[in-house]
Amino acid sequence: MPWKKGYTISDERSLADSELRWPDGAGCCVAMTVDLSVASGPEGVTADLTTPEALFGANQGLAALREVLRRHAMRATFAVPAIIAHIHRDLVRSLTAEGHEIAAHGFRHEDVSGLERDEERQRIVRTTEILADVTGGKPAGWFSLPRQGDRYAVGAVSPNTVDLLLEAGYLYLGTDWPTIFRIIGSATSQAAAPC
Amino acid sequence: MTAIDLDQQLVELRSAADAYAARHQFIPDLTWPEGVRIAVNLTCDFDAMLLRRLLNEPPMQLAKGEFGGRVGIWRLIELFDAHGVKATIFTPGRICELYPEALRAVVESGHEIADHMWEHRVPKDPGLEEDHLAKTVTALERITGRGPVGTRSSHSAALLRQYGFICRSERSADQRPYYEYDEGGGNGLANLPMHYVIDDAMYFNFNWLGTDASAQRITDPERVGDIWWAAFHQQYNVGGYLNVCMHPFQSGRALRIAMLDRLIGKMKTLPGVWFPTCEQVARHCIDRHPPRAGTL
Repeated sequence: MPWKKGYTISDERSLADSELRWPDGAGCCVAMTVDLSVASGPEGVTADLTTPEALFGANQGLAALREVLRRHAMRATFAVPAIIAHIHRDLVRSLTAEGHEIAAHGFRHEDVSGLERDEERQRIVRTTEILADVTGGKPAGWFSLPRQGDRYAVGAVSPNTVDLLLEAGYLYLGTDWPTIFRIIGSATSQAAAPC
Repeated sequence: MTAIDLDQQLVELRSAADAYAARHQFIPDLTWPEGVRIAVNLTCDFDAMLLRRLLNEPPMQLAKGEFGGRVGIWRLIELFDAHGVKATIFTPGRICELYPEALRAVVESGHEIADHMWEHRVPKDPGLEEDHLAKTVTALERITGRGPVGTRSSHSAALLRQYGFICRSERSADQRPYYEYDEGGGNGLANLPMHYVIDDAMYFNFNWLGTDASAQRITDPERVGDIWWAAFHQQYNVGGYLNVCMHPFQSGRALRIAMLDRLIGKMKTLPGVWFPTCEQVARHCIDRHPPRAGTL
């Protein structure tokens, strides 16, 4: 649909609220996403890793949060940059063991909006490999959450991101906004809807 | 020497102020149809991602705008219809290509579709400006079956009159509808004033008009409902007018729809509250409180 190119990458119309159904007659779905990145700028995780806040997040902070989730028998989705999975291998693996979902959050939660297509592809492929190696399964979701220093509180993607995620077998793209939208292919190519 | 210059400044500024004032005609004795105390225009600016795109904002900002077309506009139609009220949807021509199904539903429910530029901008070049307006009028007409008569834009009055427009809804020189004329005193248009205080984007939008994320303004819908109720109630008491400006990508969020649902419901508990389209208000004013002869 050429008239949508550069304007919209989502369906013209969503399910109406009245058409939405959850399993077992549930009236509402509450999904919790935990951002395991410590990046503050467009370059992604850097020296942010060597701060007291990062250390707290990986230890006491995460432990306290897990305890709350455990107490309420809730599972969450952890958005994990490949570099974090690489450094905190056992920690991330233990989240999987507790039934939480591990989703990708970039190679180092970097801004991909200006990358060449091939470089972005390499980053997606390598990120997927690292996460699959740590958790034992390919991630189904890819996040691009905003960093505290970003100008726009939305997360960054490139014109190729959606195509490349489809190519790599991802089922969803999560954003910061409550719109985990169904990937229907980007405006540049009419890829088939995977879900 | 200096004194003479200052006197000249007084003359020039006074003359500019007088000329500007002369281009506006207020309606201090405004009355509504029998039994009506206040007219409330519920208006939507359905620009979805167009302004975000125009400001070169990143794709995920556009995605927020897309929500307005994919979800927000549908929820608003449902809300208005459930209350049996009429709304006016200011629609850029380009939206006719991007969300035609939603616009057909707007027409089906009897709401008004009015102009909101082609892609949310008025070109400086007069030829291009006319091209944008003509394209938009044609696109809207194809959806609604008739040309729009209202606009929320800064299109020139002469051009708007040429294309059959009778009203504009922009700026707020008075809280009640009034008339505006061009520099020559002609090309009159009724203005149905809107104010940013009664505009959802002032309360619900990150990065509004190029501000930094650190200047974000996200307000509790309840607080917005309180501010708007107070504004409504003040105008209700004086027999006035309220124009509520909503953006489907902002007000279409579930909690905000719930707030609007309570607000409209509360307005309806009072006698004499009229929810017409902007066109209805403009035609009422022109009929009951005519503008200067030969201008509109």
